[in-house]
Amino acid sequence: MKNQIGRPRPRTLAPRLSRRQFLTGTTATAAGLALLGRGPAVLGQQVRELQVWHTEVEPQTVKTVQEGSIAEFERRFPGFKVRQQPLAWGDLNTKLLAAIAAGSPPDLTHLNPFMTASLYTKGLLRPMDELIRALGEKDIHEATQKLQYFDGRYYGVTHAMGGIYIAERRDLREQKGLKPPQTYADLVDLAAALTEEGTRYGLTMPGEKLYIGFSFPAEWLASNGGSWVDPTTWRPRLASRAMVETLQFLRRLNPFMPPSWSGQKYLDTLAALATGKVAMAYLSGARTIGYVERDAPEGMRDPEHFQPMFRPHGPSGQTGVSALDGENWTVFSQSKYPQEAFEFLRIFYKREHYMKYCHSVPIHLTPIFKSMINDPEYLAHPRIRKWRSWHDAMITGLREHRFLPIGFSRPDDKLLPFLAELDGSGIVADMVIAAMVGGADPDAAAVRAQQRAEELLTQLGFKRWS
Amino acid sequence: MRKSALVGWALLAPSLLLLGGLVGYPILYNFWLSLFAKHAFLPAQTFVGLGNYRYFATDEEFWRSVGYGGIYAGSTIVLQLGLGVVAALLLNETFHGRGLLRGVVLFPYTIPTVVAVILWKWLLNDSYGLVDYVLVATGATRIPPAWLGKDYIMWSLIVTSVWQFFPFVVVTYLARLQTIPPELYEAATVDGAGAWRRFLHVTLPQTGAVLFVIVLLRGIWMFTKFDTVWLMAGEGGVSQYVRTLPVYAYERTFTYLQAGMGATLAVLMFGLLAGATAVYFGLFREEEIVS
Amino acid sequence: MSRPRRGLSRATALYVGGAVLALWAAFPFFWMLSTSLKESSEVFASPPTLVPRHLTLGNFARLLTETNFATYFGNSLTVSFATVVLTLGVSAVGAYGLTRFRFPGRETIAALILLTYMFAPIMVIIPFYILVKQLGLVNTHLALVLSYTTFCLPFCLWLLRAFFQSVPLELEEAALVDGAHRGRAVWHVVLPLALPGIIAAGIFTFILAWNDFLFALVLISSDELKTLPVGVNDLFNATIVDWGMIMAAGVMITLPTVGFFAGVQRYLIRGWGSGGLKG
Repeated sequence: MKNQIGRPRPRTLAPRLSRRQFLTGTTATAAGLALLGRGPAVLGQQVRELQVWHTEVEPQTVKTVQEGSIAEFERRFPGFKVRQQPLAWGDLNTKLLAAIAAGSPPDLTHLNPFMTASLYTKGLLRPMDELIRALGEKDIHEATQKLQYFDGRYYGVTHAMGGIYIAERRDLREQKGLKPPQTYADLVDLAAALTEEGTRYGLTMPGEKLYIGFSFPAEWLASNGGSWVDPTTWRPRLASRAMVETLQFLRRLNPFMPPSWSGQKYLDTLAALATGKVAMAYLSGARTIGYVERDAPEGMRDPEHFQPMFRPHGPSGQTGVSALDGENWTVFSQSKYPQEAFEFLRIFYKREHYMKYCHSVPIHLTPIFKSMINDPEYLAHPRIRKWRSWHDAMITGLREHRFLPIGFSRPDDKLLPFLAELDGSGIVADMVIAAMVGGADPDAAAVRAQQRAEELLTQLGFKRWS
Repeated sequence: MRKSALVGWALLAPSLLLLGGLVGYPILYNFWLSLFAKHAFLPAQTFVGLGNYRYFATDEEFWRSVGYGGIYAGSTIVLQLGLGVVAALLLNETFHGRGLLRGVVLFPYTIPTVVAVILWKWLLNDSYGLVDYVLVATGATRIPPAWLGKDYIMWSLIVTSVWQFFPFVVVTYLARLQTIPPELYEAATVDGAGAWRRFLHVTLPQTGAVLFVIVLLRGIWMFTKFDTVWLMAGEGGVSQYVRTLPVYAYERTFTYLQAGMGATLAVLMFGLLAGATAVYFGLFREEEIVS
Repeated sequence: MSRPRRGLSRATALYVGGAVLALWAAFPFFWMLSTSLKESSEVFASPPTLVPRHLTLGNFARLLTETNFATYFGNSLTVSFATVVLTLGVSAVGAYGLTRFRFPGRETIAALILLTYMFAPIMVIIPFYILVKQLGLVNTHLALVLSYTTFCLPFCLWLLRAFFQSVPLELEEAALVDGAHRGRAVWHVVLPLALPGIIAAGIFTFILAWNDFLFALVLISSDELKTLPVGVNDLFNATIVDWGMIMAAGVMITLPTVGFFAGVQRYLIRGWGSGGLKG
């Protein structure tokens, strides 16, 4: 390609900056930067550092871990430094896989239960039976205890449990004399009743793919008698009645949601609830309480106004099921300091540290130990006392088996080694959005997603059907 | 003579080493990788020959991404070009504050894409955004449009991109405008040509070549643009309505975790681009040389 | 070129056009700056205020104390400057070799170098990532510096080649005849004349390194090594959007580049005119 744009004409160029000024400037800058001491970071200097990754990004949680378990660990293991790396939940999978691929996974990490099977079958996880027994196998709540239990051994332990609900403006619902919804249809009616055109919408959802395309669809399938795949052949069931009925329900729900919902982020939906722009936020953990206490108008920052509701069930289902937020602590077979990682966990779960950890985001971080859930000292935390109904919802949900780990449509989904890829592909998100806001026919959208999912599993080598 | 050649090679060696190692090798490796089913992070890989290519030939998502990529690249190029040329013509005239304005017009091109995108997301926010406020306050609309929702996301993306990249056209075109001999305009004026005819008969022929290059470069860059599109909508539910080929290629590798498939899409992207460039040269090059 | 008879309407048209252009190009920046200086309550005020009623630096303070922004900023500076130094060194030497020494295949090499310019990063990011992984450089700044250098090289080589070509050979030969060593001849004769080109190349390189998102997204995972674009995007995604603080981040990121551009705009338009810039 011949340069046509106009040649530089040197005779007209009169450099103002002398060469010497320029070069000394550049050299000085380079030298200055070298002095900043960034060398080690660039060269990846080796120190005895215990790398710990987790997904609890709230500053007070990070601080609690730092001042509690990490401080004690560093006292007991001189020469070790613990480096905690809080990661956004949506980043965890990719970051972990990349680190494993690079041969330098963290020593200890949070891992989503839906990722476990894929890593376990590749022999990447380290068993931790001894630790589990030391923590009290019988005391760990059944809802989480066996999530990473394969072939008779434990490969992980949940850090804490947080139920997922619909958060509602209870006062608005009660003004209309309506009950919490039991079925899909009830929820549509409620959202319709609470929508006031121009000022408030009935319900909102985050538009991010990881929710709309993975964790919600798993709940919908579970709440409407469906599942991701056929348990024996692993053939996807996205075009099943369970899914199509759900898409029809979502289509009816959509008019009562803000037109921009599909571009919204999770935390923005909580802000919208707290500030009264919507009457229900479809995705809510007890973290919502924190935002209500900060953003809601004074006089409304209480459980009389903001309440959790369980998921409704579909026409083909019996019970509404929602996700249980709770990653598992995992140690990789490649971990550099596995023994120290286990020691760190023992310290992490020590009563004094662990209770402070759980109190850092009360109720959202419900302890995994049955003994602690009922411990008066745990319950005495002012926020748990004030928002007791949220804690009770958690207990009810656990008792009534209304929770499944994020991304699970059945308990046995822990055996599926392709959920991360299904999540990442966005196939399900495309289906849901196409049917909900894209005007696509639910049947057609489901058939298309089914076809794409079958292709994906075939390409990944997981096709067992014929 | 012989020594001179050696020195020449030696001076070029670092450049060639870097380019060969970090561009040349990856390009070749990419072709090779496109023949495999390979996990993005784990070592497992299986040879599949042209299987990946066969798959994409009938993959609806692929063709859709080509379509969205075409719409995005086509419309942003036309708008950048129109806006950029008009702005350059304006900035080639003499008026007070011209120097300052020339600098100001450059701004959008110099900032990181992430800032441009966040800035426009703020302007277009449907609850607190200035654009919707003005539209509602002036009575242009009653319900504020959801610019980042399904219906308008492509528009928002196009506006953001045009804003961010039109300065390139301005500066490049302006540099050429400044080299047009004033005598040509004077001669045209003597012949009684008005502003429009002067533009048509003097400016356009003079700047044909630079327009050719601008469209070529911007075409390549817009068709392969990843960051603006990804940051605008990549992880949101509406991403499927702006899923251009670069985004699809990125997703195949880093979210579907199928590196072989991603590599195949990169090769296809290159093929489409090379094809389009060849057609473009065929259509316009002769003309340019004649004029 | 003013036309006296139609002078007034013409001037009006120019100023109106200029005002519209300024508004379109600069208003978003003004709005960013204005938002960054507002208190939270005013950020969401309806009707919005164009100029903050109460100026506050609180957003900047929060940005610098409650987030890792300062770290990202430092990382971006390190990576960008290192890239500039490396790129200028390599490309100046290479371009000199391309213009001052004859060897078979020289033109072919030059054309091939330009061809690599046609490959957008997204087309090679996958094998690039795998290569960096094999070299053990994943999650290092060195990987970023190398990748930016590589992607700036074709442009810088061509730009500097054009500048070196425009320096008359006779000047250099005269210096050589006078007994100067070639290195001294280059230093005293060629570089000063090519300086505008070197500055332009340096600026372009800096901007590319400062603004890149894709390589930083793929190659860096540790928070403490992140550069600004990825760091700020994470900040944007991780919390309820604190628009005041995010706009403050935007202002802080924009300042260095705008400053640079303002300072060297003259060189830039020339360099630009002679090559084009990737993006």
